[in-house]
Amino acid sequence: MDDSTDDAEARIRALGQVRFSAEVHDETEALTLLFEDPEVRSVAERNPRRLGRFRAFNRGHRVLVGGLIALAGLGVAVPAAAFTSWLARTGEFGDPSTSTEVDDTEWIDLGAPDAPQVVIEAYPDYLTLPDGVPPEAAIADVSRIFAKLSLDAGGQGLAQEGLMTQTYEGFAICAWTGDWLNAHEASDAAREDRAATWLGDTGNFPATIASDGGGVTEVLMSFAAAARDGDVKTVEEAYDMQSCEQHLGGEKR
Amino acid sequence: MTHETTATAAQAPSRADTGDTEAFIRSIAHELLGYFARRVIPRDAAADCLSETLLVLWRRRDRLPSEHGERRAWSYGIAHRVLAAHRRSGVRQLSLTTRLREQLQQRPIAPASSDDDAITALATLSPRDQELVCLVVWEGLTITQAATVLGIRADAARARYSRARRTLRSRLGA
Repeated sequence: MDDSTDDAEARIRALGQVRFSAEVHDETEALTLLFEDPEVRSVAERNPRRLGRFRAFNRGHRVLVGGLIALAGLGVAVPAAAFTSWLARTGEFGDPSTSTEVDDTEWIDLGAPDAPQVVIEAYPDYLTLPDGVPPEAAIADVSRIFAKLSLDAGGQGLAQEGLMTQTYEGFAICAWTGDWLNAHEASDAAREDRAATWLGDTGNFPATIASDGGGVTEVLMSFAAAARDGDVKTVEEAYDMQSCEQHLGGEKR
Repeated sequence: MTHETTATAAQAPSRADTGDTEAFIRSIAHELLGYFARRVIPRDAAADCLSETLLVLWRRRDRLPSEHGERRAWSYGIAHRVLAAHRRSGVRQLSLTTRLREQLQQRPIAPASSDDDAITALATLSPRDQELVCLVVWEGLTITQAATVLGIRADAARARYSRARRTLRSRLGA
């Protein structure tokens, strides 16, 4: 059928013409962009070697991220109405009976189109980061975490806004821990002291402290004390325990 | 607003010509959705076939040919195998595709033709010849590229294509 005027060809070609709505077009684009993220592809392919990241946490870290791990399970236990909404803000607020911690913030539908914007807006105004770590780095990391949680929950995950705040605080804790280690390596006592002071002030991560289901504050303060005392081994353990390398863009310090 | 996918559109130059894998996969995704939408029932299963194909494309991207036409043919070769897997119910359903699947359910693809004679004429061809014709006419592949996709020799494909064309012309009185 190399003759373009061939009527038979034209009629067969017409059978193959399909029209997609703009929404289908957009969803195809979105799916394609999602697959550009190697982590997304890894999750999609159920590659146990890479999914093992969460399983690899030791006990101390499980305390810190317990809420995150619980999220996928909690996501299927919420009112069905939330799933059908196209808006991330569900209008449902925290219920201690369905949450591992006391958190009265709103449940966010992570599968909604505007969920990424809600994650960005959850960036706490009070958060302070070390020099050289921009807020965009925190936003990128937290956005990545919640996108992955949404995937793990089959697009039906819900998370409380408070958990997003805590995740931002977790990023800041990592950033300051890394800053302390860098300062220590550079023998920059003033910078070391600044980082240790930040880590020892619970006012810098109030959401994490407020939602402490047991042991979180104690663990964090022990890390801060180690920084204050110059105990580099413990601070390095804290950095590893909280998977800070991944949070800070996968860079080795 | 609708987006039409045809063989002509598939032949348009794309950013993949720059050698950028990401841009190529982005550009081919819409074509591949059309490929599956024309061939799978229910049509929303096209979402799963597409996602499976994208995963394979990414996994094997180091083997992606550099020439655009060869890239397309190579991608259709993967899609062809995914389609076969789908027909064996061997394509997984990914949560990632939920929204695309829903869109395909809620907004069925509007067929641009209700030419029953043409449908019947195409159906008289053997499944392999049907696919050969469709790869050339619908997806815009050359006969040689379509032969690669189907795993047959180019000269055999040319002979089959020529015979199929005669059959279609005869049936359609062209």
